Formats: sequence, structure tokens, C-alpha cells
Amino acid sequence: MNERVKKLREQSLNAVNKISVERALLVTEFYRSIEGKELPVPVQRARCLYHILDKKNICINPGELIVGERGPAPKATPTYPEISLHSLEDLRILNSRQKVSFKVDKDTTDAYVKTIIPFWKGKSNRDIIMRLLPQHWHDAYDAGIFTEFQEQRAPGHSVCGNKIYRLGMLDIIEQIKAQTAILKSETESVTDSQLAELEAMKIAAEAIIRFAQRHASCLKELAKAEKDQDRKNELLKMADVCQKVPAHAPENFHEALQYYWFVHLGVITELNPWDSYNPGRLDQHLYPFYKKGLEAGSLTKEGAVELLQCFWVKFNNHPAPPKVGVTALESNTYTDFALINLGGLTENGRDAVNELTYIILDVIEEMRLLQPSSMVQVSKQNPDAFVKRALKIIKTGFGQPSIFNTDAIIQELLRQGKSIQDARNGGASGCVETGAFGTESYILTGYFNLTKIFELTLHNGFDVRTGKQVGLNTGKVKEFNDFSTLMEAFEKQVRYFAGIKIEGNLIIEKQFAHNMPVPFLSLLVDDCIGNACDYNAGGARYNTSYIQGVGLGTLTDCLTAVKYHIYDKKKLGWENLCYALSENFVDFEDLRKDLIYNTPKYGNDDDYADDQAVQIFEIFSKAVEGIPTYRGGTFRINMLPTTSHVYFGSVTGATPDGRLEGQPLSEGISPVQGADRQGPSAVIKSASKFDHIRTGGTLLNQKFTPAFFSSEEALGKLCSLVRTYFRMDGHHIQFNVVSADTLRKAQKNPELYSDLIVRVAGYSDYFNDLGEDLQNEIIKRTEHESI
Amino acid sequence: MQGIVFDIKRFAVHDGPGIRTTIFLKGCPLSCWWCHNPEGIFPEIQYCTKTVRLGEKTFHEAEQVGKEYDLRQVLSEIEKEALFHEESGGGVTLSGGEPMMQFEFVLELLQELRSREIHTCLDTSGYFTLEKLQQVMPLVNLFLFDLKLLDDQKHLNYTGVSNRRILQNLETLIQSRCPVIIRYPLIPGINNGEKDLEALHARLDNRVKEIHFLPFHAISVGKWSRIGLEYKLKGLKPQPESSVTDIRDKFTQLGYKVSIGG
Repeated sequence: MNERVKKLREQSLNAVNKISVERALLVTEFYRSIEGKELPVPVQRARCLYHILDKKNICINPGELIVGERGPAPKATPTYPEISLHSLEDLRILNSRQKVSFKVDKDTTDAYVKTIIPFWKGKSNRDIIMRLLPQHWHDAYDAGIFTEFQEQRAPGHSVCGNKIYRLGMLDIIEQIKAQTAILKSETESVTDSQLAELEAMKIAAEAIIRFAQRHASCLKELAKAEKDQDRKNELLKMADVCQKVPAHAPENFHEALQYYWFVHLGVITELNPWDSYNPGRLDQHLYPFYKKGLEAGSLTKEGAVELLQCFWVKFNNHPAPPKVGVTALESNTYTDFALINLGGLTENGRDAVNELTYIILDVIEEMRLLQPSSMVQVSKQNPDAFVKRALKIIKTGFGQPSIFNTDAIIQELLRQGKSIQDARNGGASGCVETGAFGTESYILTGYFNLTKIFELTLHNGFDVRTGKQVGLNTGKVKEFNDFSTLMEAFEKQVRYFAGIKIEGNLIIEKQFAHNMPVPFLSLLVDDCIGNACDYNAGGARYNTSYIQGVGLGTLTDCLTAVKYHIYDKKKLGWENLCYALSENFVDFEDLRKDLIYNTPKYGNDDDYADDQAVQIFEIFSKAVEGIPTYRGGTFRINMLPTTSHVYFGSVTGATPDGRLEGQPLSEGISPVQGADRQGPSAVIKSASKFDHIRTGGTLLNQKFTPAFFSSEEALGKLCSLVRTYFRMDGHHIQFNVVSADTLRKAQKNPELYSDLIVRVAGYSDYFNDLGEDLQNEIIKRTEHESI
Repeated sequence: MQGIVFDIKRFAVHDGPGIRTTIFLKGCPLSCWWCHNPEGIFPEIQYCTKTVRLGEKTFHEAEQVGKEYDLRQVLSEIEKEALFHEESGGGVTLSGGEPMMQFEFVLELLQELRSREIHTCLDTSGYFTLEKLQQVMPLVNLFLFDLKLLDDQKHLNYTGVSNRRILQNLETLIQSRCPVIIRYPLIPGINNGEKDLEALHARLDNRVKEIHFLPFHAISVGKWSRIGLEYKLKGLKPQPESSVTDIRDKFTQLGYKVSIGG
């Protein structure tokens, strides 16, 4: 990388994560200004966004080519009091907590005391939701049975399609006007809320144009004062770019990147959607601009790389908005999950890997940044050279890119009713979540603690930790004569808690649909304009809500241990086992040893154990799949944890697989840490036994030491491993490449390893930013030292 | 037909091309001092004790070394990895011990694998009769042929047998143009001297194209004591990496395709 990029990268890495009160003050100022006025909610929201973008501080960092910051400076992170109001205690915790902290200065605290808390107390979306949710929801939530994504953040997981590369905001405004005219001519069916939504979208489009023009003015001012002639020219050129996009469609590489970046900032300023926003199929979107620029002689490869690297820095400047409480535990990271997709198939079903794909892979390797995340989509049509290039970056050990199965993703989307073109234009976002980019609102709603539900089943629905009967009375396990009776009881409990989770989701979706629309995001997603309906209200072409199952490996091993020792071998009784669990295996070491070492385990291609994984999957799937959502979509499942398996483990007692109380659960669909003893191909076989196509994403993590990637031949074998998994319809695999020794050293002397990035579960993070238990888990994960 | 197998290794990536399943058959006519799989030397099933750890606590558990498999069971284990074999251009490697000690079983297994079009490697000491060799030759896609010492006296001393039959079998394979990779362990002070290596080249004379040098590591000490055998190379240090590299370079210059560690 050149000097410019080096400096920008350093600046980004060294910037301190802090809370900026700017947005909260502007939002409060706006809502005060409309007190007593009758404004439709979408118009309120759009005008609020306009107010922020019109008034917020413009930040242009020295040397940068792509401009725009969400806060007043890199990593200065706004809050969203209309979604979730931070208390003074929250601010104190954010400022002082060891992991994922945000500095809070005195001015911020003062503003919260004087202005923000008094205005928003009791009025934030979170306050309203918590009041609306029934007591049994709260009991289950407190017991740690599920989490709730939308309590501190807005519905997200949206990915940009190719619309912005074809249309300027002025074109989109024309579409809105035309749609308004059509609706008005159909006076019988049009509703006020439709007209209000369109009006709001128009204001939102104007807001982003205004924001870009403020940058253009600022850049011109800077150019005037700039002594260095080269930089002066650059600033003038950047001013031209900001004058043009997003008002007009982009015509070159630089304009395309800057356009996306403004749109990104618009989405994450409007609200704080989960997983921010995401350019999706970046190599596909940018390739026409790259090719055209090269052919015309107006762009060089070096120029394109520099712009991409500047673009990369922008993502890294934007940590996830601060989370507190359970939500902080389930997603304990600065990463905001913008997942760049590379490769895959074109809309017409051909190999989509192009020259720019490889250039972007080079950028990923050289930048070595936490954000954005990156992944490669691998179809059977893509060449091995592409997979091997990705593996070579994975080998460098910062956890990117992860590897996805395009052919499985397309099948998943088709099954959900997407058109073949929309499916091929899709991919994965966040950690591993399947979506149709630019046409779908697919919302993750919360993690679901399958292992905890099993624990409750053992206690006839009673939660020992909170001392409450939170589940159903499904009978005493010692009276269960066979294994299938146990499975039936477990299934009843799963259905009961899935019902509670869904009941809550419907309440929350309704609240967002009516009271927290996102007219700006709606501009970008087809067919919100055509439907004159908000993204949060079901305006998108496709609408899906997911519940994410957690603890598959742990739960499979629990059920297998019970089946094996109690029902098949009949060498262990329920009373003994339950007593040992209640004692956390103190004085039951022999039993625990047998449960760990002398019991069939998931991850070894052993049907005896894997059959339970298939059953759990079917039970969970049946409890959730196909239920209609408030937005007119469908509930579906996926299997991923972010960091919730650590939180869920902390609320779950000792389990029959030999796991001690409070220890993390297994993550994604990976085996329990250390339980896979037959190597990676056996893990892959086990993980393929249930139907990935009926999910919206699964996460399989395999840890390898760098030795596994030592030669071309070794890379070829890993490539075959991936290809075989994908032939069996596996959705995703990620490789964590690092030695356990290095990790142990990092734990002892964190100061010497502050650059160490590891893949956690669907994303990468600085090792030092992880909690100690998660660090230990990553160390413990099976290392396949055999090579 | 039954065989005694002491391990089936999945995702084996050092025992021939592609991703392989390696079947370790128990029993070996040799008893090399440096043997990495001493549990494969005796042909019978053995019983010993293994140590299992759980935090601070250790447990001693009975362990059976070797298990009877019928052909069908072995084939079903192989079948589990079929897609990996196919995708990677891999297959099955028969190793040991000396697989040819269980000749009838190996012959039948090789025939089954051939009929299923699965690629086969025979990882062998080369110590068996010509007649047996001739029977397996048409069924083996690639021989991983171990050479240890060219000096017959030293061979007898360190492995317990003469190398005469081994070298004859190698000649037969070369004459018959069977694909062969030589596997040569580098044991410091025993077979890694200049003379030993010159003798190796003199014998091969570039008639075999590929050599894998396997540097000695003392990772099997625990296994020797667990099965109650005396390990004679206690304290022997591995050859420095730089001199392994020298050997690799030298043989590369001589025109061989060389890899270290298989």
C-alpha cells in the first residue's frame, strides 16, 4: 500500500472508540421542534434524517479519497435514543468495561443528564417494546432461553443490490413522484400511509443529496486553503464527485464507491440496523466501471486499488453502535458485519469471478482490517484458482475471507420462493445469513438456546437458576421409559418457547412497522417504492424473519449421552445423572470422564450421535418454519451464534455431555470443542447430515494450524475438502488459522499481540477484545495437528 | 475374511495423492529402532493402559490395540470418505505394520477396491516373497516403498532382517515399470551419513523418480513404553532442518522429485 493508505490505515487503527452525542442531540432537537405538530410518522422520520444530515459536522480526514463519517471523527460513534436510551449507568459501563468499550466524555454525560434522558425517558422504542411484551416472554428472556435483536437496534441485514449503480437519487425521486401520481389516480385504494411513505422517501432522498453537497462545499473550501497542488487537485476532483453522486448515477469507479459510501452512511444514520449495511456483490457491481475506466485510459489498476483501500478504511472507522446488557453479550464486538461478497454466479448463472475479484482479494490481504468482513462465494462453476487464492489469505491468519457455497445459497433462496435471478444476485450477509440482495428484508430476531430448553426439560419446565417455572410441565424424566418419550417432552418445550419468541417478534415487528419506519433504507430496496410501503412494514419484494438456533453440538452430545448410558447401556440412572449435574460433577469425575471420553459424539461421522443432531434440527425447524410474520413474510431458521453461545452457556447448568456449569456451548453447527477426533472430513460428514437447504444459513468453524496450508499440494487438498462439503450442500465453512501456542502467549502478554485477529464465529475479532472464556474456547478448539 | 487393524485414519494427506483413508494393518516382520508405529509390530491384538486427563485429574484406562475387522466393515469405513477421495483424486492407502503380513486380507481388499475404481497405495517395507508381490502388483496404483539402509549388515542390526529380499522386490517393481515413491527415514547417525545417501542414489540410479525423506522425530517414545517395548533411541535429537534441506537440494540436483515429510 502507498503512503497515503498507510497513514489512513494507521489513523483508523489508532482512533479511539468513543461515544459521540452529536446525533442524539440533533434527533432530540428535531423531535422538540415538531412537538404539537401532526406529522405522519414516516415523514417525521425522514425529516429527522434530513435534520441530522443537514446539521451534523462534516468530517474530511487528511489524505482520504472517499469521504463521509457517521460521527464527527473516525470511530466517534453516535447513539440512537429513539431506539434505545442509554442510562447514566450504561454510559459508565460503556466507558469502563474491559471489552468493547467506548470512551464517554463529560460533555456527553452532561448532555445526557440535561437534554437526552429527560426527553426520551420512557419513550424510546426499547421502553415501549418492553412494556408491550407479556410476562412469560420476560421470564423466558431472563432465563436465557432467547435473545432479542430488535431491543437495542433496528431491523437490519439489508444488502445493497445494483440499483444505485444504475440510478441517481434524482432518478429515484422521479420514480417516487410517478408512483405517487399513479396512486393518487387510483383514489379508491390509495391510503394516507402510502402517500406519507412516498413523501418520506422523497425527503430521505433529498437528505442524502444535501449531505453530499455539504461535502462538496467543504471540499472546495479545503481546496482553496490547500498549499500542496496535488492534494488541491484531488480535493477539487472529490468535490466534483460529491456534487454528482448520489444525485446522479455514477459513471466511473470513484463515483461508484463514493455513492455507495454515502448510501451506507444514510442507512446507518437513519437508524442503527443490525449488521449495518453492506455493498454485497462488490466485484460484480464495480467490474463494469473498472473495465470501462481501463479501456478509456481514465483508470489504472493501481488507482483502483488505492480507491478500494481508502474505501476499506471507511468501514473500519465505523464500529458497531454500542450495545449493553444481554445484547452486548450475544454480539460482543466492534464489528458491524458488513460482509463483502466475492465470486459466485452472475444473474444468468455463469461463473462470476473476474479480474476485479482477484484485485479485491489482494486488497483484503494487504489491508488486514477487522472491517469490512469478506467472504468468497464458491459455486461448482468457479475455478479452483479462486478458492486457492482465498485459502492463501486465510492462511495469513486473520480469519478472512470465509467460504460460502453459492449453489446451496441459490437452492435455499429458490425454496423460499425467490426468482432464479434474484437468487443468483443474492449471497450471505452478517455472519452467514442468506438473502436476496436489494430485494429482501430478512431480519434476524434472536438466538434460541436449544441446550437450555433441554435443561428445563430435565427439570419438568423449572429453571433452577432463576427459580421459576418458565416451561411446560412435560413430566419427570426418571419416569420416562424410553428415549423417544424424552424427545417428545423436549419437542413440546421447544414448540412452547418458539411460540413465545414468535409472539414477541410479532409485537416488535408491528411496533417497527408503525412507529419506526426507515424511508431512506426503503428507497434502496425493491419494491418498497412500487408498494408504497416501508422496509419495516413489508414493502420489500421478499420478507423473512429468522430465529437462530444455538448449541446444536452440545445438545446432540447431551441427548446422545442419555440415550447411550441410560437407555441403551442401562449403566446409568436418571437420578444419578441429575444429581451429578446438580453438583456440577463435583465428586463425579469418573462419570464425567466417561461422558466426555467414552460416549459417541457429534462430529465424528458416527450416526449413533449424528442422528440426534438431525432430530434436533427437525424439531426446531418444525417449530418455526412457515409461520407468517407481521410484515407478510415467513419465519425461518438458521444456525449461527455470533458470541451468544458464551452467554447461553453462562446461564446453563452442567450438562450430560460432561460440560461444566457456565461453560460455553458449542458454536454454530460445529462439534463441541475437542469432541471431534476423526479429523475434518468426519466433521464435515456429520455437519452435512441435516438439511442445510431448509435454513437461511449455518456456520461451521474448523481450526487449523498454518502448517495445514504449507504447500500448493496441501492447499489443493483443503480446496477439495471445501468442494466436498459443498457437494453435500454444506452452506459455509470458515478456517481459523493460528497456533494454540501463539494464542496462549497472547493471553499472557496481550500487549505484544494487539494485532492478532482470530475468526470467532462468522466474523473475526481482535483476540484481545474477546472475553477470557471465549479466548479459552478458541484455544481449546480442536487443532488438526496431523499434517 | 478378517483382518486385524490398529487404526483407520481419515483425511490422511501424507500417504499418497489427494485425500486418503489409511488402513493400518497390524504385524510387521521388521522391528526398526525408530519405528513410529510400534503398536503395529506384533500381529496379535494387544492390551495396554492409556492415560486420560480431565483438568488436573488423570485416569488410567484399559486400551485394546488392534481390532478384528471383516472386509465389509473396512469397506464401509472407506465408503464414508468416498466423496473426499473422488473430489481430491485420493483413495485408500494400506499401511501398517507391514500390510503384506496379512496377505490374504490385503489381496481381497485390493481386489474389492479395484472393482470400485478406488485408487490404491501400498505403504510397504518391501519384505515379502516375490510371489506375493506379483499377485498384488496389478492391483496397486502406487507403491510407497520404504528403504532404510542399503548396507545389509546395518539393516540387519537396526531392523532385524536382511535387506536382500527388499531390494529384489524393488528391482522387480522397477523392471515392471510400476509407479513407486521411495520413502527414506533420516535417522541421525544411523542412515543419514554421506555414504548411506550415496548408496541410496547408486541403488536407485534415477530409475525411481520420486523420494520422500522422513526426518526422525521422537514423537513415538510414549507408544513404545505403553505397549511394553524398549525404545533404543532415547535422547536422539532430530536432524537440524538446514542439513535436511541440504539433502533435499542434493537429491533434487541429482534429478529426483523430492519432498520432506511425505
